This record gives sequence, C-alpha cells and structure tokens, in this order.
Amino acid sequence: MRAARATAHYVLLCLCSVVILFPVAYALLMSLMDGAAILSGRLWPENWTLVNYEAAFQQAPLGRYLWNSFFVAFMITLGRLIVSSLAAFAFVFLRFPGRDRWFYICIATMLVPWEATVIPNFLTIQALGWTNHYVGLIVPFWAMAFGIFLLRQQFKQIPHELYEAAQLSGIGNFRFFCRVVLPLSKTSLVTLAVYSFLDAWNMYLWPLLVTNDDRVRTVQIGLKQLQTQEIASSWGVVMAAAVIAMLPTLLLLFAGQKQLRKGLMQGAIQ
Amino acid sequence: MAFLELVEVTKSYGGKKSAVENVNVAIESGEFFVLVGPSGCGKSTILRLIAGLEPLTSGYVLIDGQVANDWPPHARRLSMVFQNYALYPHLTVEQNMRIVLQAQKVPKEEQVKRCMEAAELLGLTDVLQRKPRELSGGQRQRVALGRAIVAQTPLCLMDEPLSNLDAKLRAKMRSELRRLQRQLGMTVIYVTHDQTEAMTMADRMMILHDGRPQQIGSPLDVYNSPDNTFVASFIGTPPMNLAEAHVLEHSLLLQNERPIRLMGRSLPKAERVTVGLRPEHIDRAESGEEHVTAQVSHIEWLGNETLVTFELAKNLYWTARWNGQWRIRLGEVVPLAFDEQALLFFDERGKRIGAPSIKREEVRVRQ
Repeated sequence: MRAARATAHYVLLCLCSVVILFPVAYALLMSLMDGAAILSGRLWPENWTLVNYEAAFQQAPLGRYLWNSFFVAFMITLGRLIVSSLAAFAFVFLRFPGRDRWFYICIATMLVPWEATVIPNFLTIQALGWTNHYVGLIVPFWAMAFGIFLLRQQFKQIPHELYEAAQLSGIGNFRFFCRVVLPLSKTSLVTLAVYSFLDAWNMYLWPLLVTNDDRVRTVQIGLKQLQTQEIASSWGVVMAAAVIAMLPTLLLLFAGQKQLRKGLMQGAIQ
Repeated sequence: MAFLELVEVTKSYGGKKSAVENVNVAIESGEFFVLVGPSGCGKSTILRLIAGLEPLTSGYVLIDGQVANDWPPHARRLSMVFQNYALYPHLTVEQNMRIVLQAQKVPKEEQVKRCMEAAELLGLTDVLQRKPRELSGGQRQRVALGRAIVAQTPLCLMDEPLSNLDAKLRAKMRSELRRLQRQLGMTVIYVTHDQTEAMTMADRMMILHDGRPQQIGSPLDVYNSPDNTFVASFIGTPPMNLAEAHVLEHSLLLQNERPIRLMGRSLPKAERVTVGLRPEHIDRAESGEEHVTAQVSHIEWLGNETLVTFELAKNLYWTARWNGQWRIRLGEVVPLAFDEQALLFFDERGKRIGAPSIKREEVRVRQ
C-alpha cells in the first residue's frame, strides 16, 4: 500500500518535472540546432552546433548586457541587505514610539502591487535625471518590505538578553549589529541575497522604462531586442542568448536552493 | 556612605498595581546582597532598574551617592550575569570575554592578561577556544561569570544565575561563587527565588512579595525574627508552622479546638493572633512533661533527621523536625512538647507583634 502510494507520488512528480523542465530543455536543444532543423520542428538536434552562440554575441552587445545585469543585480542585492537589515534591527532592538505600528505599515506596503508604483517611481527617477543611469536601475529597489519582514523575524530569535548584555558592557548599537546580529543571521541574509539577486536579474519592465541606451541595458531587454530585431527571428540565436541569460540564475538556484528553502521556512514553523 | 542606594523606588507598567513599590535599601561596598521572593514578586525588575535597562516610575537610584536615574547602562559601571547566561553563541569563550574589553577600549595585552586570569580563576583555561554550545551547563555559567570578572566593574548583578544547573552543581557553585566574590571584593546583588540560596549566600537579604519589600536583614535575623507571616513561611524548609489562635488566660486556643497551656510565656494583649513555631522547636514530650498529643499524619525520613507531620486540629498540620531516625508509624498518637519561648505571635494583618517597622535608612542625595 505504502509502496504503491510512493510510486504514485513519484510518477506524479516526474510528470510535473517534465512539464516544468521541458521549455528549459527545449531552449537549450534549440540553441544547439541550426536554423533549418528548428523550422522543421525537430526536438533533437542532428548536427550539434555552436553557431547560434557566436551569432548572439555578434548581433547584440550581449557581453555588455550581461555585465550590466550582473552589476545592477549585485548592487540591488547589496543595497537591499544593508537597508533591510538596518531597518529590521531598528524594529527589533530599538525603542521608539509606535515601533510596531510603523512595522505593520511597512508590511502593508507588500499589498500594493509593484506595477501600481511604476509610474510615480518613473516620474521621480526622471525628475532626478537618473534615467539611463545605473542609479535609476538600482536605487528604487533598495527598500523592500519583504526583506525587512524576513530579517525582523530572524532578529527576533536572538535573545534580548544578548542586547542587554551588550548595552551593559558599553557595546554600542552599531558594534552589536555588526559583531553579533549579522553573524547570527547568516542563513537569512544569504536567503535574502539569493532571492534579491534572482529577482533583480529577471527584472524586465523597469529597465525597459528607464533605459534606452545599450551602455546600461540589462540582458533581459537585450533578449527582447534580439527577438524583434529581424522580421523573421532566428530562434536559435534567441535561444542561445536566453540560455546564457538563464545560466547565472540556474547556477545560483542550484547552489543556494538549500539555504533558500531553509531561510524561507524559518519564520513559518515557529 | 553606601555604595548603592535605592530611595523609594517604584516601577509600574501602566497597570493599577505596581510591579515594584517603595523599595528603600542601601547596599555597602563588598556586600553580597540577595533579593529573594516567589516568582513575579518584582525582584528581577529591581535588578533591571538598577542596571538601567528599565526606566524608574519614581524614586532614585544612587550610585556612589550620585543620582544615576538617567545614566545609560554602561555608564553605571556594573556587570550582569543573566539567567540564560546571554553568551554570544558564535564567539569562542575568549572572544565572549574580550568583546566586553574591546568595547571599553582596553589595550590588547591587557585584554589577554585579564582573560587568562579570569580563565584560570574559573578553570576555563582549556576551553578558551570553544564555542558556548560545546560547553557543559556549569562551564557556560562560569563563562558568564568570567565576562563579569574581566570587566572589573565594582558592582555585579546576578539574575538567578544558578537556576539552570542541576541540584548538585548548584550547591557546589553556591560556595564557589561566594568564595570568588570575597576574593575579588566585588559587590554583588543576587536575585533568586530559592530561599536556601538566599540563606546560604547572603550577607543581607531583602524578602519581596508582590513588589513590596517585606524585610531586610541578615539571614539569621530574618530566620529568627521574621517581621510577618509571609517571611515566616517563606524562609526555612520545612516552613514555620502557623495557626490562628484565640488568646486566653495562660493558654492559646488553636483554631477554636486545640488548647495549649503556656507556663512561662507572657501573651500578647490581642484577642486573636497567628502563632508561629519552627519545626525544630517541637519535641517529643518526656513523661511527666506538660504536653499535647497529636496523631502522626505523614513522615519523611531524610536519614540524618526525620520530619513528622501531625494533625493538631481539623486541617491544621504542623511539622516537627527531629534529629536522627525515628521509628514511628502513621496514625500513632504522640505526646508533643512545644518550646514556648520560641513561639512567635503575629497580629491579624500578619505583622509580628513587637517587630520594628521597616527602618528607612538614612539617605543623603548628592546631585
């Protein structure tokens, strides 16, 4: 009975994984086929070729895009970690009037769909003259209610006596933050970093709005450009570029999956 | 001049009842002062008020004669040992002690020197490079102490530091802690709910109940002359035997049914009192001696002594403590002699008749 159930579970899981993995696998296979094979609807390449990858790098400044994406995602991640951890520290350890109320207001912003804030954000960035600059791509994403929430839950696990002991021995807030709070919250910080990096890397609408210059465009926009450049898209090239754009995400996911799951589950089962 | 003084210290959390009310005490330098009381009596709150971790509602905390109400915790030059030790889990024993010194900008050689000294004193030399989770409960406790020692603050606050240890280790640490405190000349304010700890460790102690101080004094003073029925029943194991009584001429009537004749003890003028008698003052009567008889309802043989509980009246059980091992059976009727000079009398509100009212210690505020 039990064995039958397990088998059923596995069959179901296998089916689901096929459904989910098929587009990724097919993109990879397509990127290794020549144009004729793609148009004839083959699933498996007859002649393995890397021409699509060469073409992708030639047709668009893909290297530049990749660097831009990496830089932007990295800076967003870094900024988010700093802003979220400092905010969470204040919400957990500092005493100020209305502390919890401010926190709930902060959390409530998670209910506002991001798309609703795109226009005001854009106007602000434009007024600051930050369009077509890295800052315009990076700064609006530093404040993030989810990050503050995640880290606050983590910081709350730190016994308050540690903070009191620090206060008594003259260890200031900032030193306590750096020497005690951050090292004790590594798991959650890594989780937030992985999550933020993936989020930033896959960002599409915002870079499209605030950039129109190859120097700062990210790879996701570059992909779209490749797709629309020619009337008859050469799908092999597009797929090759897509695979390249996907690679860092996949690597990060495989490397950080365990951490990510651990971190996201942490608040849930207390 | 006292080293630390609390003057009419009151703390309330907005509710009607104060967590701590009207605490007056002066603690001398080098003293081991114990705050003792049942849980929720406000003893930890007093410690936190002294440390500056909570603001006072009213009153003054004086350190070295200066009002310290608004001083931040680190300016009060004190250290604290927490019940759960509050060790930094990701730092080694050495780092745990040195982080305190780093914050105080002590030179590096001095840091190492003080750490080594403290480690030697506490027997931690071999585990300096270990993390707290790799240590036993007793060792963790010592590290927490070590952190207080290296800081070399004149005052150390301890919040039930031994309550997480097993009974045997606790007894050992009691004397060790006291020895260490004398050796270093530290002033210690020690919070516990365990009256044995208070009795065995304190130079002086304050008994608290419901946020109000009940009595301040040396352990033996408190034991021998408790100011009220709460202190009488809280200090001492087994606790003092208490009973309501009518005062008659030359005798007492316990709970309206059990008369006790008193030969040479003058009785208070009140009509109704509560009488108290410690278990060691109840003896087996010898033949011909004035006695009362009572039925044995419970016996505990502890080896070196025997605790025998008698039913003196309906629902009135008194316990006697006799040296040695006594062969008695449950239900046996035994003649008892009370040491009438040891009887204590309390008035209807529980205050001992003839006890001095709590003295307000003289306070000089230097601002």
